[in-house]
Amino acid sequence: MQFLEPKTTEDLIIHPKKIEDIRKWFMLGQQLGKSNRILLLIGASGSSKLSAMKVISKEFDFNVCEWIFKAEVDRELLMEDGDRGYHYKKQSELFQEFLIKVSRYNSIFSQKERILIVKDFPNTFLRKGNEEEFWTILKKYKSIGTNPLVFILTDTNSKSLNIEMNLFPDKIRGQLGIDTINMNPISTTLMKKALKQICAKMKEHEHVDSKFIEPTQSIIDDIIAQSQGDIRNAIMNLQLVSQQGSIDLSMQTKSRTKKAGKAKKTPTDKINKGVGRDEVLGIFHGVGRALHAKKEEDPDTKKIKLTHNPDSVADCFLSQPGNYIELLHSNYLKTFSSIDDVKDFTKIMSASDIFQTEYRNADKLHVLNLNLVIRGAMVCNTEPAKGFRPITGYANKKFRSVEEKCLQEYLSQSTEFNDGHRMSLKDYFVDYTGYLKLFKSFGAGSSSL
Amino acid sequence: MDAFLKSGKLSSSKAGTSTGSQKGVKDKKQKEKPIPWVEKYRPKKVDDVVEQQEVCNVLRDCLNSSDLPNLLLYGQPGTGKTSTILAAAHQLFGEFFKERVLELNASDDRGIAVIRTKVKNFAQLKASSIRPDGKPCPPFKIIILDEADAMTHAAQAALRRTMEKETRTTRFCLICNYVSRIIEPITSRCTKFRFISLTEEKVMERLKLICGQENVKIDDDALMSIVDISGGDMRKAITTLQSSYRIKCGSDVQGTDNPITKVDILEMSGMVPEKFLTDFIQICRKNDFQKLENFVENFMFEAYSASQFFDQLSELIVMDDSITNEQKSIMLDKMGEVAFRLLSGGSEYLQLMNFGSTALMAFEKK
Amino acid sequence: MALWVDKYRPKELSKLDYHKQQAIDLKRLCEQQDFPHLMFFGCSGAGKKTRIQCVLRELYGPSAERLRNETMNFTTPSNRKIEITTVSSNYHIELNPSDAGIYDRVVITDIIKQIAQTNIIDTNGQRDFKVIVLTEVDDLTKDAQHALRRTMEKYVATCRLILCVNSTSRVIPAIKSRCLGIRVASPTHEEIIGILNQICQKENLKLPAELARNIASKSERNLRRAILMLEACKVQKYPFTNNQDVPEIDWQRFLNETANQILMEQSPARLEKVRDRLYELLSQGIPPDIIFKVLVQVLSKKCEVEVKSQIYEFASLYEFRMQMGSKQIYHLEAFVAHFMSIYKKYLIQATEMMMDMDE
Repeated sequence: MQFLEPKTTEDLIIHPKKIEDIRKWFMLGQQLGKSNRILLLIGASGSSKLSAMKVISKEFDFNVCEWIFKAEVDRELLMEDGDRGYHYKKQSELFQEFLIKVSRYNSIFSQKERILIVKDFPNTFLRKGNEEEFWTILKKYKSIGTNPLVFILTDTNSKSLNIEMNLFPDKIRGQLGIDTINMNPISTTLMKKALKQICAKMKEHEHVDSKFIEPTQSIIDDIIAQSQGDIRNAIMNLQLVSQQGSIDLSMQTKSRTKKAGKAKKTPTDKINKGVGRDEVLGIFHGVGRALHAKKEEDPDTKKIKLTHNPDSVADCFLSQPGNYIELLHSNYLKTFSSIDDVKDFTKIMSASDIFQTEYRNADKLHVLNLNLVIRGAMVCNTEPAKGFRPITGYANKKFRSVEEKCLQEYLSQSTEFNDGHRMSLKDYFVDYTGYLKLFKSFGAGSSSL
Repeated sequence: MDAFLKSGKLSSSKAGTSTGSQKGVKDKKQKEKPIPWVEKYRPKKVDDVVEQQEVCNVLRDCLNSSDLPNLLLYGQPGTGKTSTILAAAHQLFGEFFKERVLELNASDDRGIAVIRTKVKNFAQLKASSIRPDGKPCPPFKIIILDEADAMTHAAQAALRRTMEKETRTTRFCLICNYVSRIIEPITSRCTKFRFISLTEEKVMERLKLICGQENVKIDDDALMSIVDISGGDMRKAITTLQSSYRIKCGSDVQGTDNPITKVDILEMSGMVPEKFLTDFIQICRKNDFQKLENFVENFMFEAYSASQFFDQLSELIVMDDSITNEQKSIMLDKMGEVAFRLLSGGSEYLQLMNFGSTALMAFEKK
Repeated sequence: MALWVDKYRPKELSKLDYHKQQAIDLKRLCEQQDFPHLMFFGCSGAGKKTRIQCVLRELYGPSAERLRNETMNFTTPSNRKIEITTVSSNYHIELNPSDAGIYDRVVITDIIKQIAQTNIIDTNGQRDFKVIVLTEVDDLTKDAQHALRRTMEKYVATCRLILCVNSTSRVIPAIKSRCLGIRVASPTHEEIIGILNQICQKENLKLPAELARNIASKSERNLRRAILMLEACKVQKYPFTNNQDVPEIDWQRFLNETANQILMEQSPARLEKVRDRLYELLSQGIPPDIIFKVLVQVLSKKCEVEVKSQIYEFASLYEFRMQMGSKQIYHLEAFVAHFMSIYKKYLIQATEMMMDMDE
């Protein structure tokens, strides 16, 4: 893997436009003579953010300095061992030290300029409430730092881990003039090109891996499909597949299929299920799978069974069962054609809400609940509506602003009536608002307004 | 049980003249000028306790021998569990009651932490066999855990260790409504006593005594209905009496013009008037859905409690011989479900309608 | 200019229009030295709050009516900051702990502690306790209710609680037994008509008997609504006529239309439309239990007894689940789907019967 690292921009398989973007950023920095600029590089995992940075830095003659976080872990471990006397610095302090010292004291060995790259964020900043600290450090850096600073962020689905949202709100970005470049997952064509190049390279350097066997085109295609734009993953898989060559392929397949336990059709598919990373479904895709459940006849038992295992669909959304269920709920009605089926399914949804609300033993319960809902959606719909219905967003989205507005109105008016006593939410909305509107609609001559 | 009685009379060390100043909630109440009648008329001596012969006999023996086993008192509310043990403690320790007795009830925090610290600390204090004023007294302290069935199992488990360790200087007295909610290791360490519900005559007797002393004017009819409502719960009976007295007579010392009537009592206790119950059954029998809807609607407006309604209705249905067993079982089955939902927040209107329509169908069956 | 509802609200116990005996009793209660915790219960618009205000005045005199708004801040164990708005005088404070949602327990324990620990500033006051008025206590979680019961005992020396409750079934028995319950039954139609007439007299209006009766019966024995309706009628058209329309509020009309839509077509597509309408109602702050009740009432009217009984059966199930759960729309929707399914079958059966009859 290391050996395959790209060395020039030509080797990079990112879209040329993006490369140009990054280059521009560098050039702009040089032109303006401002050296302490901050860049935010965002992209899915394995979209070769770091590699791109490294290659382009080289191009512009920068030394790359990466924030490494290991020493830190060791120290923490030391702490836990009970050595309380050990002088221990907070992560945030260390981080600050890194940013400022490294940038100010140039290495004596090289006269090159440096670029700082931060990829692993110190944990402390990820905790809620610590954002301020991070911002202060950034501001400090902005005022005294001398080198460009790049933050590399990986896209995540979960909200709490979303660094981009939490640590770099728009306000801060504007204030500090932070630039942002978004990296897309690597496209299939580029990936194909890259893998081919790699294969070619591997052949050239057969001494590195004498067992190398060139994989067939179909296998490469599958690897690409599996990797979903993650080049790192793709290369690892390629490596694995190519080395396996010596082992009997069919043997391999059998043992793997059992583990994965999924329905498979073609031999290539089998290999990939084994070697590919776990299938990750987008939430929309996952909902679609439950709503447009494919059913097929089992050749052995002649029973109708589901093509996709509900468990494996459920497995993809364990971290966000609430969102998944809500999206499913927003979209299910379009795919049903019989009200009786809907009746059965809503019964399940109603029960599922109770489970979802239950906080005791939530871990296990919510997993089961997710399963229940997915199975419910797959099974209840005996007469699916014809035609494909795309999944749209959450059904209640457009009502949220109304809700917000009404609540604000209530808060501002709740003590205006009733001789200054508090009015309950219920009374306000059920009785007062309606009549107030009436009074207003009759306009002038109203005795009350 | 003999083994229990013989156990631990050992510690005779004289340390600890004062045992800290734990104050139960009850103390605070006593600071208030007017004492609630429930407190005022608590039995002062074990012999005063109404009924519960078995327990009283044992306790009396204990008092004579100045020792006590660990106790577990259980039974319906208002049957005198707390009163009995308090009376016994008073007799044992006299004015040093406060130093020797720690009373904790469900209103105090009673997680494991409390058991670990408060109870343990109190238990570990030494208790001398001689009172500060020189008179002899039993060499142990009593920890009363009221409403013990509300304790978490973890807390109960923590308690069990403490009970074992501190037997020499401390007796525990657990009080609860349902013995089944106390974990087995604890019940086996205690002598169990069941408190039976008080008979109507005893409650009546007590109420009359209080009325006499407090100068309450009240109809016999009203008294009878208090007894009825209380169902053998002395506390409920006395509080109902006092509440109605407060509302009806107030500071008006004579209270002559305003004798408490049965209507007042019913209103006070939140009971649903009989008329609603019989009307309800009548309507269901007639299979008139429209009337049922109207009835329920009106019932809601009267603001009576639906769960109270079901409580009373269940008795009425069970006792009514004109309803067949099958009908009863259908209705009571539904009632259980409906009452549960009510308690968890279900709408009174819908639950009443649900039960009503079930009852209606049940009467149809014949 | 205040609304009539507020303008003609009685301020003293002796001026209450109905439940006069109860008012006398309450007055007597206020005169005594020891004042118990009170719990007022009754339907909305029955006059609970009015009575509470009267009791406060009786206890502390007119200065209990000098009110100010305050916001109290507190932090939950999970470090969330929450604001609660309160209304208070020198002697009492009013708050609705269920405003804090799932953190209501913290409100009960922290805020009440805060209030209870600060003693009354007024030294020559007649009372040595403060009053805390808690509204919508039945909407509190069970956890919070248990905390409340503890609080009631703990701070009985410095403060009294007055609770305001809609349905006592949802209040735990431990709280009920510690309060003196005051039942506030909704005013009867006659009582409402009487009050409407009084108001008209004071406003120098002539109220035809027919219209008064109409308003009373449409108000569902909710006095607040009745008076608002009266004022709406006045705004709409005066002088009054006997058969004048009593204006319906928009959400009621909207909900009735929704029910009709359900009756007209039973299909997933229709359900989706209905769901949007329900969302709209909910987002405008109409409580789901009211939506539920109205829907059930309107829908069940169209069915035979057997079907009705089924409707109530699952309505009570889903309504209960709605109270237990957190996503109200799921349960409302489940109810509508269920109804549609049953109603569709019922219609088919009915037409088949008709056909048989024809033959």
